[in-house]
Amino acid sequence: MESGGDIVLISGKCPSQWSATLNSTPRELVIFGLGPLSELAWYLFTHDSSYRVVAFTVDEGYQTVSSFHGLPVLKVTALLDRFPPGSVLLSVPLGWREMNGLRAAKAAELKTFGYQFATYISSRSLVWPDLEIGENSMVHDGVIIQPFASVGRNCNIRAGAMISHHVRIGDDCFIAARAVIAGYARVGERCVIGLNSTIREGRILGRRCFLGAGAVLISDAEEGGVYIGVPARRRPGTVEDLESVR
Amino acid sequence: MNVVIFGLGEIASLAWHAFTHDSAHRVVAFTVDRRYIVEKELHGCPVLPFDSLKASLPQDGFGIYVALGWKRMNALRAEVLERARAMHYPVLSHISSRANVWSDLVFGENCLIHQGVSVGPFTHIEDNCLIFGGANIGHHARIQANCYVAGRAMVSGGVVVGRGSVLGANYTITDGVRIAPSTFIGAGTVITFDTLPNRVYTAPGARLRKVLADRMPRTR
Repeated sequence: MESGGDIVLISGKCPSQWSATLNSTPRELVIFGLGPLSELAWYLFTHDSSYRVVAFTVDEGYQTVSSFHGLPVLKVTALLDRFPPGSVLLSVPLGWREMNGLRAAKAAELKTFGYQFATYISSRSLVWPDLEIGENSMVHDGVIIQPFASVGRNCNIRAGAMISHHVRIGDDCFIAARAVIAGYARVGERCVIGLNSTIREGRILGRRCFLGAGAVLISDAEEGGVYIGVPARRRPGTVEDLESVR
Repeated sequence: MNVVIFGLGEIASLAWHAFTHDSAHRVVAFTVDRRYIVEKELHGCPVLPFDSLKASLPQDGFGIYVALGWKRMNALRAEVLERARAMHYPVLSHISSRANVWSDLVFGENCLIHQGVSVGPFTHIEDNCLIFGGANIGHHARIQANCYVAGRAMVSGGVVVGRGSVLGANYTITDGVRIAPSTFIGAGTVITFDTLPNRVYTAPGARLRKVLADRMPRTR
């Protein structure tokens, strides 16, 4: 597990030329955080990209260990010394805490230092070479993104999700595994789209909407609304009232 | 390696198909308890009584796969597996070449992972788990022994699925939930909380609407 040298993809359909192109610039990479999603990002960048992960970085007060998977764990201040902007790319693979606010804020803060970010496209996803996708986004295995769809920056699109043609995903969204977003729907910034949920074609979601796991959204969704159930209905209150989001 | 499949049902046929067309193994026989033998052959392979398997086949060079479903909350499959182990035959597992798994996946004996299944890194699948097509097992999840995961089921990151559970088709478990041992989750159910052992959870079924299909307002 530590060396990872002989770990290979076991899959009938290995790297498509499209994702190989997208992942082809060899650069060194530093991953923000030590949680499960950061560990997952380390694994995916290590075994399924041309990037080489060289360190983890954390905020002051979160440096619980000095190394992780054999790599140094550096406070951001130390990162600036050891891997200054321009020498590495960063990945901030945090989850949807604070309606993606944590990930958005952290990426924005690191950007002010001059860092740029890597985007990960799984070799086992189905995407097209002209896909528009922003920096620090991740597209996991089994994801399908059809032509004329676009994805903003800092988005996390989890395994098996389906983004249909002409769909627009705003910045800082979290699309959970196996969500289905049908043609020309528009998802506003910082939305959380739940596991295995469905959005019908052409629906418009405002900023910071929360669509629960398994929900089927057949109407538009208002900014800050929490939508659950089949068909999805707006719950009283806003995402601020969701305990799990805080 | 030569394989003997325990069972004669659809799940045994699926296992035969997977081993025959998608592995380096060769199925040489089916086996069941003597009283269940009706036909002498299945898919061109002899059907042998389990109690005389040792006599019928030389012990070296054979492995067993127990291809049973979730009868008695997977207990039947677990019991037969124990009997097979008592016969000292190696027990095989199979992962479809069309499943998305990583080469360091930790999985036990008598597991069968069908095509289109996606398994994330840092996942552990214990002995005797049957995972059907298109299921998704998230990163850092743990599927304990003797589980049955139906097609397109969705286990997300960090979930622990207790021993002997049955997870229905296209059901969804959200992050970090604990599924107690012997939980039964019906098709299409969404589980966002920890479950109780030996309990059944189901989703509301489809409703028959009053409107006729050809009178439905156009949605676009």
